[in-house]
Amino acid sequence: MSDATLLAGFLAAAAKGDRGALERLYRATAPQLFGLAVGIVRRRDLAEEALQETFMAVWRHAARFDPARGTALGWMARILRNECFDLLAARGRETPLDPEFAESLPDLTDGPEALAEGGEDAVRLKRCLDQLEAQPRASLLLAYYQGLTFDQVAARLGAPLGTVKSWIRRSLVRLKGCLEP
Amino acid sequence: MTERDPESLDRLAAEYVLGTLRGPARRRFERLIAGDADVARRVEDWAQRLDPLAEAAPAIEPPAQTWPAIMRRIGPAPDRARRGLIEFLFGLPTEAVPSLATAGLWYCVSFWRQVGIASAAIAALLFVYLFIAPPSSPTHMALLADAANKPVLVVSLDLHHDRLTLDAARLPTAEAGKSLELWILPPAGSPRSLGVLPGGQLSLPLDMKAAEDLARGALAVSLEPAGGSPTGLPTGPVLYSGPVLPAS
Repeated sequence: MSDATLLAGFLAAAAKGDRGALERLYRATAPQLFGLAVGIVRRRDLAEEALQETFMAVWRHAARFDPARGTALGWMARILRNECFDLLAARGRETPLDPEFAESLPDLTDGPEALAEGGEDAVRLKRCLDQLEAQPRASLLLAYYQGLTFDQVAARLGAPLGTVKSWIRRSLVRLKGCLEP
Repeated sequence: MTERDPESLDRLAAEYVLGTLRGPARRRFERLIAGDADVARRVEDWAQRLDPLAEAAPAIEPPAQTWPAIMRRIGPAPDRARRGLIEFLFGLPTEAVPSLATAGLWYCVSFWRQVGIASAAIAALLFVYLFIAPPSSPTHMALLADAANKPVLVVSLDLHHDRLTLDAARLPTAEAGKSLELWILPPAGSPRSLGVLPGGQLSLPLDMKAAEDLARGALAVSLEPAGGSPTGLPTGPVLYSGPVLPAS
């Protein structure tokens, strides 16, 4: 049984009110989700809040997960990233990088190598990301993994705002085309 | 939202999922998702395209207290839900409620003992709620009170199955030419309509956003022109309101 099938099974059991299944789901996914949250909110306390809210939402809405429409981790990551954006919106944009984490955040902007070891969809997405040019790809991945806005990506890469917008928009269109079955 | 051509909608859906669509534009787009199946499908498609990126996120061990905190919030097993409600009514709840004007009174045990709890009306409502009405196990409930803090309406929420149920038969009827409209008061942002109250029972499916806001928010009933508020926001006086609380 693959990891993805295992996680989907935990979610199905959690949807029926099985607290043990939710705990197994937590043990299996929390570090990765926490890592994703830290990258976006850049503070340990906010990342923990996002993780808590995510598991509360997962508990309430587990029945909505449809294994035919993506992986359990992907579905949970959608909820988590939304929680992170809500937290950032509620606190303005003051999200200083927690120095404790500065060292531990890997730079994923070259194209996340770990995708190559993921499932079929991950490998396909990596192949499509590899076809993008370096800066447009970096812009897109900064937006995903660090939750940066167009302005912030532009500041980070030292590129004009309009350029960054068109890099990201064109990259999204190219990804869509590349991922078409 | 002025951009309704498919290409713009698809771009907005992609930027919503990626996260570059933020602030008020993100909120507006969420309302569009809730009300437009085509937009919702585009968002779903983009989410599926980008989901695998999550697999490459770095693993960082979360603080040890996170899981126990989640378990505390989830509470005991659901067969204790109704006992939990009784404990809540006679003791202090442990979760924070939104800052409504009624929240202080809501927490005040002596208030309940003095005015609410002994009255025949509330006893009847609770009897219905605890022993007759619930078609499924409620995860949350709200007791809506009028301006004099007299409880008038019990709302049961099953947020595992995204359903809201209530029985408005006991509510005073709105004056001629007016309707009673039910609103979600989210923890942040504007009230959102759940529609005009019928004269009797109501069982309403909730979308994900509504269920999430309700879990942390409150409910209110306002007096509106017949058929409901023309603006999408409450225009008349708020007659009844109350916070949503976990049933266990």
